[in-house]
Amino acid sequence: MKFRCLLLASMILGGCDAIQPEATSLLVVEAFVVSERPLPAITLRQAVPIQDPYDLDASTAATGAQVALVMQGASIPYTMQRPGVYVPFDSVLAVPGAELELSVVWNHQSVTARSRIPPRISLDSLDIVVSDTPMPGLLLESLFIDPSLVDSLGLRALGQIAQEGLIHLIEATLYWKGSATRAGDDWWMRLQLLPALGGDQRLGNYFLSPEVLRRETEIPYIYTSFRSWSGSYAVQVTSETDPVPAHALRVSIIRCTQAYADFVSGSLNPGEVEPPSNISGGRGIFAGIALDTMTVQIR
Amino acid sequence: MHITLRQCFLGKQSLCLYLVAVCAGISLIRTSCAQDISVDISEETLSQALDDFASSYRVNLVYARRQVDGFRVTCNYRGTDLQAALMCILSGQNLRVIRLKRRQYVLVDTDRGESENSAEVRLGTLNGFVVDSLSKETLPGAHIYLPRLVIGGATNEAGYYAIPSLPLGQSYQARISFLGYTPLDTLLEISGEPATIQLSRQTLEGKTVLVSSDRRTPYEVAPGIRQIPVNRISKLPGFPGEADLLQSLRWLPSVQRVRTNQGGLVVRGGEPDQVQYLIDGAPIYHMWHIAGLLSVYQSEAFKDVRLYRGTFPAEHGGRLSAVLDAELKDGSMDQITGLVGVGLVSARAFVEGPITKKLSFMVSGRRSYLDRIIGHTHVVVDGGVQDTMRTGVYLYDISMKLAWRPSPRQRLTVGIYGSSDDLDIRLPVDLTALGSASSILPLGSWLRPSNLFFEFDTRWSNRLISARYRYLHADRLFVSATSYATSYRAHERIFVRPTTSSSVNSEYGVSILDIGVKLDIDYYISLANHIRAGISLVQRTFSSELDAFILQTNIISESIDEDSSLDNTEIILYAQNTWTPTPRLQIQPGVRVSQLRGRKDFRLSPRLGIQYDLNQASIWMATGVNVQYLHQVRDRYSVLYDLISYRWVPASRSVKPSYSYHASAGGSIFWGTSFTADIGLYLHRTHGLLLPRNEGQSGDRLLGPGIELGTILGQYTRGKAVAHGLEVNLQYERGSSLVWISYAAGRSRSRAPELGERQFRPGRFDVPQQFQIALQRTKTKWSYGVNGNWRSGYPITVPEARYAVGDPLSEMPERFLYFPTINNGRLPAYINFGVQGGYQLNVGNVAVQFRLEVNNITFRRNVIGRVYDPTLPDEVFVTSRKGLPLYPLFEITARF
Repeated sequence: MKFRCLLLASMILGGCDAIQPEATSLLVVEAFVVSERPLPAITLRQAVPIQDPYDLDASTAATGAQVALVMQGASIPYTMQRPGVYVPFDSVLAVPGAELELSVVWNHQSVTARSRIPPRISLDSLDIVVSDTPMPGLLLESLFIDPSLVDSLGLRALGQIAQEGLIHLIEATLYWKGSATRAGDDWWMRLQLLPALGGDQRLGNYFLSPEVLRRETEIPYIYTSFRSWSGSYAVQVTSETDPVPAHALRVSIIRCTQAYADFVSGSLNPGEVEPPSNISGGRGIFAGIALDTMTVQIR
Repeated sequence: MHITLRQCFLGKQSLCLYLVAVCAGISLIRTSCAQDISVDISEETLSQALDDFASSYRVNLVYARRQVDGFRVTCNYRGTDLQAALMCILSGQNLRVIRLKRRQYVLVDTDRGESENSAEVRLGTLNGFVVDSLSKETLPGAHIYLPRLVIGGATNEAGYYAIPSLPLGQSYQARISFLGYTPLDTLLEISGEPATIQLSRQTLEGKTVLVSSDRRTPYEVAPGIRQIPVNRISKLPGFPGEADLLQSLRWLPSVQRVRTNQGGLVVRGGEPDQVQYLIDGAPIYHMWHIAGLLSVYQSEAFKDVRLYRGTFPAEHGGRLSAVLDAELKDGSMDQITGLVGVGLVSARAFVEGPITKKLSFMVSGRRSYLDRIIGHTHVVVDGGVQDTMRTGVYLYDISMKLAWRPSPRQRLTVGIYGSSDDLDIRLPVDLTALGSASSILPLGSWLRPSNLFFEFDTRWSNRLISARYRYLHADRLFVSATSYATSYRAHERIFVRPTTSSSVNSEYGVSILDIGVKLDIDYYISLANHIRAGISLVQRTFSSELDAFILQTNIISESIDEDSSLDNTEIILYAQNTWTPTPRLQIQPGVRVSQLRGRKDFRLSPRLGIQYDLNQASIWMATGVNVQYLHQVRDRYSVLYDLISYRWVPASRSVKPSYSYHASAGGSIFWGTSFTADIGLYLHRTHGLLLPRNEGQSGDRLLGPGIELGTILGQYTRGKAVAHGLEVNLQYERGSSLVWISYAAGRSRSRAPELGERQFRPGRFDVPQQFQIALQRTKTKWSYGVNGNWRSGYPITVPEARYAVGDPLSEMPERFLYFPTINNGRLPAYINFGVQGGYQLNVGNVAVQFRLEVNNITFRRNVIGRVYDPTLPDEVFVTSRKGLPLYPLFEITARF
């Protein structure tokens, strides 16, 4: 009897764990309202169990949803154009500074989100400096180390994600006009250099900074009304005499809300962390942004 | 100063709990009061009358046979006064009765013709010190028991005992016992000077301790406060096979050794920063060597180690889950003795002995030797190009103590402690060769001169100096004054040159300095009451600095240069009464008052313990409130700093202290002299914890937000935690055999209301079930044993779904995992079986022992972590990180 009591007590105190699988019909929203552009298509997907494949097709699309976007108090109805992709009935331009509300009803779920459209942004100019000669460089993809390769020093795993080679360093400096700040404004900037390099070229982008996410007010003015940021990236070559391979460089600049900044910042390690979502009742992101891109050829 | 009742008692729950427990204790005592007494005897022998009276009314009477033999008495008494009834029985005799305490009386002779009532009986205090017979080291926690009187007491931290209010001129039969020593039965008398009682060790050095203490002696264990048999468990197996105190504590139920960067113990489901580590009364902040491999507690250097779980004596506080209180040895007064040992990781030495008749010393040291074998700097050459590789990895700790005994009543000790770790690594690595190799061997294939390299230099150290003066001011008044200064410093430097024109250079340092004074007083009021009270003042200074510079190209750079400094002063008052109203019942109410200087945050922490002894068992309960003024935090984003140097943040206006309520109850059962079972239940509720806002966030970028207090605290939110559990510890010792079984069942959960968590979720060290067993046998020269360890796996956060979200700057949507709740899963159970063997031989006066442990003999690769990769379109790829298969450990020691 005493043993039974002890066993019962330990069961009660220790308990046991059992993962209760949540309903995986989770609605995922993807919507970026770009300042001074027509209201965008809104993509709705659903989450699937982790043991299932995840294809970006109709199998994961959320169909049959009721989508409504409210901008400055005016409701803009949406309709499904193709599985999971919803477009506005009419073409309406996104008004800078406008408050946005999104509501979606799908599969007895109701999700909502709010955002705001930032002032328009445009790249003013771009300076690019290319190194004359290549230099030895460490090409490190990330600090994620494959646990299956961990040895006593963790070095072989490092070797799997890193490579030593010759690289050309390319620096790019972007200029744009700062926004006229209003009370309550808290805009963030996402700045990105994205070279289009063929083959399996790897970029040493960990120690360099081809992309940055920063509060706009923390980026200093260079001239009276222009802000500036400099980034760099590496292009791998095989010989010390090789010139920089010709490639296209896309330069992007985004002014955004903190919700979008948090989402991007939280997307760095998708295996361990889920990006913060501003979708109430679902996942994903609904954000007003201002966007400008420029593509240049590097020779 | 405006102080509300809630501020005082940290909430009504605490106050109610305390009052209920006090009332329960008092009512327990009063239930046996005011009984009717009826004595009606005529010409009966005095001895028979006293025996009948003692058995009928459950009183203890102390007298000598010569006092009562040959006398006859007549008495007729009805009433409720025990003493009056006894006086009736003794009427006409040359005896009178003295009440020692409730239901305990002693018969003393009176001169013939002297009025019984006018006789002035002189009382005194039976007092003295209990010491080791050889080393003269005082023995804190030894028990003095007077079986005829059924009273006793325990020695304090200075080995001093006092049993006041006893009649002078008598000899008292006493039994003195202490764990690991032969119990001593002797006669004690009250004299002007304190007695010195010498106990002899019952064990042979180097052998497994197989000693039973006299567990039936009352007062051995304070209510709810367990003195850990450290001598015994330090002989149980522990990684890495060397005598290390903290490694051995995992054999206790609900004590886990966790392998985090900062290392640490987790007690009753708490957090590592909720355990306070004390050496000679001074705190140690980082008690682990490299990667938590060894603790800074070397077993031989300490004479007394106590682990208090949950409810502490009132003199201790400042942490929520446990206090480990260790005191360095004073040094033997007999002769110089010592030990040298070599283990897998380090070599150590210990020496103690007398300097003069009143002065003794103890020196103990340990150092790793790997760097002495492989060297610190190495020249690597390839094709005429030369570079330097550094592999400086070492650790050491050293402790010293001087003890001066100018008289039996005084003792002055000065203790010095230091420990340090250094990892100085510089690797010129050919990563291309390393990445394409199937093995890291041969090292020369990738350790080659390179334009690219990384340097990593991390070092941390503890320094402590403590002076303690203990003075027996009067027989009933013992004073102990302590002053100390303790510091912890850590420094991390990382230099990486990823290209010939770019570099990353980061230096991060943290330091803590505590300067404190304490005054503790033991006052033995009466046989039933012993007061311990004290005051403490401690000034803490915390500082940290970060200087990081990232040079990407010749014109692009990024830097962060911050420093932070904080300090606070804490004032503590405490008082605790040990009240033994009956021979079987002991009640310990206590209170601790603390306040940060300059703040209105006044905290009152009540404590209460009750113990009741039965013939073959004892039961106890304890409850209390604990307050913690320190939080351990780190920047959770950067990989450049805060790798090892977790940062302590003191409570301030922006960071409130955390506090907890603790209650526990249990009992011990004894069968014969060989078997002991301890069973306990506990409940622990914590408020004001700092929980990470993003539990899964790990360092994934070079620079984080910085080290400013507000920035780091922004990564945390306040939370609550609850823990409850069952602890069972079975010990069987007979002859040369020892069986040790510990089992713990419990849960530890936390919740962050600000994050919208409505329900508690498993804490990161939540272990529902843990079972450990060790069987050991010692022969004359050989010793051997087997052990097993099974526990539930640690909680992990398991994704329950996967989804994809696009981005305006990406061509393809990125796949993410859906983590709806934190710690919703669990790793597989951890199972480890091992065997040990030892052989001892004597070479002259030196006893040499060889000890070998082989762990994980089933070659089980325990899963210690899991990683999920959602980026592939197929199912999520799961990778498990596994521990070592079979690993042997060894140690050779020589004692002289």
